Amino acid sequence: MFSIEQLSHTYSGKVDALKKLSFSVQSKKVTALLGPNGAGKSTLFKILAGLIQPTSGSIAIDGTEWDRNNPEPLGHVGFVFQDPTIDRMRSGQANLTYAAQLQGLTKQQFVPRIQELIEAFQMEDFIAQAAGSLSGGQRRRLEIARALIHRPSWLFLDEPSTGLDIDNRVRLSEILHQLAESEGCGVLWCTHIPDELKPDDHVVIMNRGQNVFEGSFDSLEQLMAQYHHLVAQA
Amino acid sequence: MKRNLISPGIAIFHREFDRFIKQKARCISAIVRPLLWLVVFAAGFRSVLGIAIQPPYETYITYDLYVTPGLIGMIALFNGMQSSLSMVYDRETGSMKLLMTAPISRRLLLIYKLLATASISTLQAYIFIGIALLYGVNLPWDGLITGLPAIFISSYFIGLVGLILASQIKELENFAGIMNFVIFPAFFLSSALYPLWQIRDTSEIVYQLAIFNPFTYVVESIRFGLHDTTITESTFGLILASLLLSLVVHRLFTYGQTR
Repeated sequence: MFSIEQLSHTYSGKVDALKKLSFSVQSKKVTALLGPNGAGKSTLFKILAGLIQPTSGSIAIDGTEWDRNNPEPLGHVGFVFQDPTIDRMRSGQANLTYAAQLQGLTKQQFVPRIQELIEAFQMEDFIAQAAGSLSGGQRRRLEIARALIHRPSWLFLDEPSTGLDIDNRVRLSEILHQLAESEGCGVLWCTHIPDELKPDDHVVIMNRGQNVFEGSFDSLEQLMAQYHHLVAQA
Repeated sequence: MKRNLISPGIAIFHREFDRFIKQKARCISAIVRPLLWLVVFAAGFRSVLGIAIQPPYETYITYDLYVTPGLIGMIALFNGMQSSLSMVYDRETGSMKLLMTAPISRRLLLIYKLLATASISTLQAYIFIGIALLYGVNLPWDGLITGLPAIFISSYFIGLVGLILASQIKELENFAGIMNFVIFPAFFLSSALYPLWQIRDTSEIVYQLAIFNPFTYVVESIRFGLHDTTITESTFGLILASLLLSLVVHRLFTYGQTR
């Protein structure tokens, strides 16, 4: 289990982006982190990625606290950021190879893995093209494949459906739910669009840097109603 | 999965070389820029300036031979700054996040990045030296070997300075200004174009600025390196300065402190 305990973050000592946030991400399951703009989702994501340091609080993987000076646990996590982070000048294949080598994989390890991911994400038609020439949906598939290159136990995605059309959003949702099953990943999916979720998903609703709900839901309508109620109430 | 620490280095080297080769204008201008100085500027001054005998030279030398180490330093200076510029670009385009979430220490990542930058600078320097030899610059052949450590260490040092600048710059647009305020003063206020004693004859202030300019020591390190002295006081000073700056750079790129 991936646990976030009492995490707080204040920007420049003035703006409280996170206020004692606590929740957990379960393995082999999709945990949806819902919240309106400014809820603190991206700040949380930056902390998880080690890009900023929390003011207080801790993160633990399977009960062991994550020492932020030790990069090793990052090898158990795959990240998909909200903004595209692929090298537009290089091909999809080169992007995957680069990510695999940064993860410390050898050629014997990453060559079959890349092939496996190309097939799983149906990227055969565009993998040799420069990443800058790909469509939004193709780029997202490439980024998710890249995040899975080292078979992480946890996959964290920050609003990955931003900029995608409805078809690609539905497809992305299916891919993420399949991943939790097939790769055995615990998926943390930051979004502000509740209709991308499925009833079995674990849900955390954030507002103004706080956890205002954690649990499951019976139907999308119920979740939507609860979400709007909680956000308005806070 | 079992990880090795060499693979990230290969990834960074491959990307840096790939990027350098794909940026054809950068590739060509890296060589053409110093060549222009050598062929046009130095040709004009060749007969005007007399360079007195001073170490490491054992006889009177022509101006093109004098200016060559400064132009090699210029190559390292431009490439080091452009490499740092690419880091600002990576931060703007998001590619930096991939580096920062890699499960290896940032210290090692920065060392790989600097080694890749220094390797590209050294490669450019040797292409330039090859053309300079063909052009008739009378460099000693054994200087090609003894000069290698000085060129590489100088390039590494300049890369470090570039990284410190890059860490302080939020937007790509600002970097062009910084480059103009760093590259040109560093080059002109050094011993790249004229010997320090000649600068002192003209202006004590400019001489003092040149003495405090680290690029002067880069140029002198390369100059002595190309003339049989592998490690000089200047080179040793650059190594020490690199070690100190490495601590600063590591602090700037520590976990949780990257913008």
